[in-house]
Amino acid sequence: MSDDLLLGWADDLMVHGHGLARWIVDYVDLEESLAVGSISQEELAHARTVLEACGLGPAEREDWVFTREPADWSPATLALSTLDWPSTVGAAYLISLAGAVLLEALAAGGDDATLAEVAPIMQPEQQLHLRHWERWVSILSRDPETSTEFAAALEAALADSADLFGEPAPAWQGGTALPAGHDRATLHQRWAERAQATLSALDLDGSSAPPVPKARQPGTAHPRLLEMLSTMRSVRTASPDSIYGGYE
Amino acid sequence: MSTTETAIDDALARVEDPELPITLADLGVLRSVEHVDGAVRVRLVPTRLGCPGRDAMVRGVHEAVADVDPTRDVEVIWDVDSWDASQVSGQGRGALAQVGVTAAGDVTCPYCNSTEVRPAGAFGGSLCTRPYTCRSCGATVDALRGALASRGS
Repeated sequence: MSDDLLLGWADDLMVHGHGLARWIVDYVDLEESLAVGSISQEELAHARTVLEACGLGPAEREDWVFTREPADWSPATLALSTLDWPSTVGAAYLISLAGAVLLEALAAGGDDATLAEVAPIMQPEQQLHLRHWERWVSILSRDPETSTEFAAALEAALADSADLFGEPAPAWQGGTALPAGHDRATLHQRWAERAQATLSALDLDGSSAPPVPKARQPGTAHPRLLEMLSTMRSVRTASPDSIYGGYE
Repeated sequence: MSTTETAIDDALARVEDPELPITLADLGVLRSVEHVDGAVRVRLVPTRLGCPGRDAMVRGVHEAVADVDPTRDVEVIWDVDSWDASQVSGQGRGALAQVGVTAAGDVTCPYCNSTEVRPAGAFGGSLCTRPYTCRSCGATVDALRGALASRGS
């Protein structure tokens, strides 16, 4: 799988995982606090795993998250969508489905043995997340009090989903070839078909899923990213002389 | 193997999980210890990739070795490998049962030994556990993920 596709996914996981964390305290129900706490934590861990599998050492991973310029970030638009619950559910479902599709391609092999080794470990963890969001899609779409609003939120999420498999804005170096049959357009199509099938089974309209991927924008095009980076880096900004980093 | 290396192995076998009262060895997290050119190489596998106890585990490993030989270099490697509850030792299962956590293939209530234990949610207080409730005594039981493979993790 090409590094830029994976590095873009790492940006998605990092940003989305961080954004989900707000629902730990702003929970819609107490069990959901536990769920998003776990999912958030695991997405951050998966971001690290992907970066590590792409060859980034500890110092490089730290720089990736804490010092990289906002213009060099390139998350998918949906990864930033965690402001209200229906939007969060719609976006999280589509994002986790994209993750599942990516992991299947990784597990299929290719030039990079490390990535093929990591994928089966990540798959069940990502599947847990996908099942969780599918359940919420079902709940919100079937409850008469939430169905109309959720349908609108889902429509908006689908409209914003075109860059899930899109080319990142910065020109990242390197690249490991995707296995045959796993180019961006194919992955996107696979994702769209599955989304439509799942949504159709719930009497939801998934036909507006974009037919082809489109390129991502640089991080500076997303005001919400700038807010999130500011929060993510607030501790280090406040205490720059403290010692940071994991215990290796 | 030298006396020091044996002592190091013994010390590492006693390193505990930061949350659960079980050693990393019994939990199936500690996979191997090698003594190479005067250094010790320790391989660990996390229960989940996002396990928040990883740093504490690594610190425990370093401290265990330092207690035996403060001059010994330590290399901790987190292996990319799968972990599931079947890798918990028999002794480990007993230790977990004391605190209401089950890891057996057929979940049994650690309080009343009933097998009428059913899932109560997909997410628990730890990444690697999920809640079950006992239909016999009503207790809430934490089961390590993968404990009931047939029922999904």
